[in-house]
Amino acid sequence: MPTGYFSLILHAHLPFVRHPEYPEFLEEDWLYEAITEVYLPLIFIFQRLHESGAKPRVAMNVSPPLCEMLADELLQERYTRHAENLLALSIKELERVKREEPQFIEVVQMYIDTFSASLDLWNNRYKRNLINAFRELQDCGVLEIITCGATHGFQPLISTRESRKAQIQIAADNYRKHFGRNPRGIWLPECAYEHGVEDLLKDAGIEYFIGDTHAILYGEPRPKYGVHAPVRCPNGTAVFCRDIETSQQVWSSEVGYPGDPFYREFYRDVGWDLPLDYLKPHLHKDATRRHLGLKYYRITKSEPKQPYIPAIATEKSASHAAHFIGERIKQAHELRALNDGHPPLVVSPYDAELYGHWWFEGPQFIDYLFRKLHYDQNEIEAVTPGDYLDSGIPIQTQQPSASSWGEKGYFKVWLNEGTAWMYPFAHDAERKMTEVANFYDEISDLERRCLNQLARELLLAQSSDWAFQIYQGTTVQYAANRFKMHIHRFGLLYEMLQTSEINEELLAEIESRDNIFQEIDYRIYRS
Amino acid sequence: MQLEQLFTAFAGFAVAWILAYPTYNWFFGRKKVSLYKSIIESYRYEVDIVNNHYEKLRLEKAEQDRQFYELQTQNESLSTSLEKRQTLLIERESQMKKFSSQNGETEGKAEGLRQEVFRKTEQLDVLHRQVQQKTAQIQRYEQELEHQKSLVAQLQLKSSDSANSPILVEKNKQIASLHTQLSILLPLESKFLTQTNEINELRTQKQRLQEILGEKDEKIDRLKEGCESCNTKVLQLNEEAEQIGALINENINLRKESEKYAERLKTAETEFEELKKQSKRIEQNLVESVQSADETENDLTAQTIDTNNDMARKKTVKQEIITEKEETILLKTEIKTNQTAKSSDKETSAKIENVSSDAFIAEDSTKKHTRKSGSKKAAKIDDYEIEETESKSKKAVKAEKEIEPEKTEIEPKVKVLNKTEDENTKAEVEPEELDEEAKKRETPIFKALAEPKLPELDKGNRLFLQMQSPTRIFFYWTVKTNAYKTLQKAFGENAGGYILVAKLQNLSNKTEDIFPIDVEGSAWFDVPDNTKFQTEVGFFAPSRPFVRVAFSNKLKTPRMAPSPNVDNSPVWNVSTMQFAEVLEASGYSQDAFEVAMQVDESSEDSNKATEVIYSRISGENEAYFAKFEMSELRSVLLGIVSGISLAVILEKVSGELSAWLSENPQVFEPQNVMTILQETFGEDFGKFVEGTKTQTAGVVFGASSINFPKSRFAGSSR
Repeated sequence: MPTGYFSLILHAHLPFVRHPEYPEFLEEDWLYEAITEVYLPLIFIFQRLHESGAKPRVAMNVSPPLCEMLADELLQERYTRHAENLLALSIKELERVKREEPQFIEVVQMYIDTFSASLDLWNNRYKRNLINAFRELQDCGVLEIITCGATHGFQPLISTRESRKAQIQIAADNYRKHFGRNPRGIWLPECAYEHGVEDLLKDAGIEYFIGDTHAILYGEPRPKYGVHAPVRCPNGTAVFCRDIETSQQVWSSEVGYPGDPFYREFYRDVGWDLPLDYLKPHLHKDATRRHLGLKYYRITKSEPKQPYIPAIATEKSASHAAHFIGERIKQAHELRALNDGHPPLVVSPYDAELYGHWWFEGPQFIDYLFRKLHYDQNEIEAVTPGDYLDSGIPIQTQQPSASSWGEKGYFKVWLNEGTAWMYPFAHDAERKMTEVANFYDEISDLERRCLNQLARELLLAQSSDWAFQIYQGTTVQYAANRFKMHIHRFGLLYEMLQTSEINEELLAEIESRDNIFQEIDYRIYRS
Repeated sequence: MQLEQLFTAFAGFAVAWILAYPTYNWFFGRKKVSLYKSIIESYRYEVDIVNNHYEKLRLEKAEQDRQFYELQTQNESLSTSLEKRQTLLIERESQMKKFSSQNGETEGKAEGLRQEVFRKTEQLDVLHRQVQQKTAQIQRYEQELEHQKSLVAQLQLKSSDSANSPILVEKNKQIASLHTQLSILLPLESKFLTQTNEINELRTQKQRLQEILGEKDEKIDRLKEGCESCNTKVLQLNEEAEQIGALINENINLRKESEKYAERLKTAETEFEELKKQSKRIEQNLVESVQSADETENDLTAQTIDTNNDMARKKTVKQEIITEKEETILLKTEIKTNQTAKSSDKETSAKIENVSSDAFIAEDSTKKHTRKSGSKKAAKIDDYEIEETESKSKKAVKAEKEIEPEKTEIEPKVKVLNKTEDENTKAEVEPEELDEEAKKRETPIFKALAEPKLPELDKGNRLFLQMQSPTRIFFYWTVKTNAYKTLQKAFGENAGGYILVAKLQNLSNKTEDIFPIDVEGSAWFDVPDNTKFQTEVGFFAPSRPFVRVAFSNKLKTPRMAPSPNVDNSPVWNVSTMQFAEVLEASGYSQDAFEVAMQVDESSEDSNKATEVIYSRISGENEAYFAKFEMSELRSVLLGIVSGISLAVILEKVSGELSAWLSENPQVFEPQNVMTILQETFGEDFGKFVEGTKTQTAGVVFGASSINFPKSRFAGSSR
């Protein structure tokens, strides 16, 4: 038996952003950047670890909107164009830096290699659909893929039980569509828990969920092993909660690894540094500057920024992985001594996008982490929550406390003075949805399409990403527009149903734009 | 000469050397050969030695190889066996896990059983001792019996010997007298027994009577309670009666109004008749005017204009009369309805109930979808009679018509979403591409979807309470706009003093806050954690009954600290100090500190301990500190021993505490505070302080905003 267990949990999620009505759309870049910097490198690393026999074991949430986007042909086509553009720009850049800025030759060459490899993997190995790759990794025992809320709806702020249930059931159905099996676990959107959620999970056949630290620490009664062992809700659903120490070690901007001065600087991008005319062929048609993903500097504490040296950064990520494991061994010994010999479980959930997008060297860190866990020690064993449940280690029963992993630990990030205006509209739509789902029974095909689309619009309006972006003040206009857009479309469809005057052309246009969850059945909203 | 001699000598020597050299060469050459031969011989010998050594080494290596091979084979077999053992070990470990879990579960049961067995054994011991005592007693009785038997035998012998002895005679006499006394006592005994039975029976009866008395008392209590509720009901009924009275008054007013309208109608009809007559007269005049065409054109024209004006006036008046007629009909319907309502008290009270509760409370969920035959059109069914009447009125129809176009109105303006507004960052765009885009954006469907617009929310009674955090909640509401009208209908002139208010009810301590509101809006409340809340909206007037319109969902704020309760099962039970260490290890140092200050399991003791600590530090009486918030006092202690600066602490605590701390600088001596804490809670207490020193703020890389444990002084300089 190892001294302790370690469970890495990655949360891969992006809001559903797809704009077929425009040939190019700025916010679609979120997906393309994540594919290049996060999903492709992680998939590649996990496959290589598996092939080398290093036996990595990771729980990963691939959220339903992300699944739907990764499987979408239009977005696949657009990503291919995006990746080709990046490769072309980096090749062009190599010529330029040779002439003008030779200190960047090494880093530009790295981009050429990375983009070429990514395009090759994308086109030839994964046939442009990363869902296949994730499914393969699950089938060969590397990943335990878990689900999320259908559109990342914030459970405690949804007003009706039917809408809450729909977020869970539709997610489980979508998981079955993409991965061909039932999900064992769920990443509750924003780790937001409130009493009663566990019953919806149990109804959907889900065995466990991920919560924040104080869900267990403030739960009733006191947890014997604190956050370092899961608990079971009175209905049997297990809860795994976040370890603070590992969160801070990786994620804290004060003491976290990604702040090392040899790692790549995120905010300096050629999209803002080079002349506009030079960049124009690589920008969108409106020729607006944007992040292009070519960043040449390392995090330097003071100006001027120093050039990024990939080899040193790689060395750093290896030493950070070794340090991380050393700390886990130390932590496991301390916790085991404290808990009368009970082996502790350290649960480390992170946004997947931290690894690769925000922390460029993150995937390398994960690579080294699992190699060192496998070859260099035998005190810490990497497991998934499902593995832990299967081990038969006894689990305490407890009623967890309401909580989320957002700032201050509750719901402030999503419900505040800047976002409160959204909820009366969302709640009104939630109430109406159940009302019409109950009312319509024997209906025409057109009415069915209209009702299903009504459900899609409600789901998309419920996405917690909009309130989050408004609170963060990043893409406020887009987020507010998206919320309004879905409520507006919900209103148009509801009106059509009420008047029995369904405008088929309008319906078809809305269907073609918001085409998420083709398998949806509006009857899920019935009370 | 000398030269010649020298030359001759040299020549002679040369000739002699030339002649002697071959011999010399042959002689020394042979020597060399033999020397070389001997060297070669020695080399050969050495080579042989080396060869022999090599052969020896080769053989040794072969032997080592063989041994190595054997070792390798052994090693492999050992590895295989090790793997098997490891597998076995893992299996054993998993079995151990299962056993330990089973063991844990059964330990509790076993402990119970052990105690049961212990109790049974004790009982058995008692019984055993009782049996022993009884056996000894029996033995003693048996011995006594034997003794008595022997005495009887002796007496029998004696009696046979001395039947006529004077002692016996005397004894017999005594016995006879005793028999006499006994004959007297026996009836007395039976009487005594009878009386005892009677007394017992009387006691039973008394007991029964006492029980009945108890029941009666309970009944009386219940009746009293019932009486109180009756009183409350009476009060309510009085209030309802007031409302009924108000309704009746309203009906009377309505009737008066209707009478006025009737009078006005009559007047209007009379006026109409007069106007008719006038019209006839005018027509007549017109005819006359036509006939008198010979009169001047100017007169005719003026006459015609006057006539036209009169006709227009006539039409307007006629229209007014028609409208008044319709309104009168509506009023009549209302009067009829109200009269029906007035017809019986029951009906009226039902009406009142409708008005004061259902009518207000009913949510939009009562709104039904109905399909009209053939058209499948869904239509709303209004909730109340009054609303029905209103909805049928022309005004309502008009209003609906006015609103309808708004619903489908879509602004034609087209806008690309979320593009960066900084024009300096844009390069020139191809005009033909923009044209194509622009054409696409001109389609009606594109326009319909391009500019998202939030719909108007239904004006139903809807209240919703949401939690932002354990100490802050959000409340939004909408109330039907006709709520005031309904109130006025219910209370008539008496409705004047009422205002629309919201009540925030604290269901945990049964208190409430009232504040005036508009028909729709929202509000934030600062609230205590671990408390249950509900809101309701209604009409409020001082010293008058509250008229509820609607109420919200219930909400409970979570506890903002670890639970005070421990798991009762022996497997999951955890002591206070151990739990404090668990919190510390989980990164929740402030909670660990606070839990560690609980000398027992309840927060009262924690508060008491806090007061004791402050009393020891400052010399003040313990009770003096009851006025401060205990968690804040504990935070200050933690801040002091963690090395937080005085300025920071004073800034972040409440005013009263800040003032007290400023007057008592001895509190800020960290070493003194730490010593007192350790004296009170033990040496280990120091580790709960260490944890807080390493806490970091919650700023993370990337777009996320992640929670890190609470700390009142997080991020403060030390």
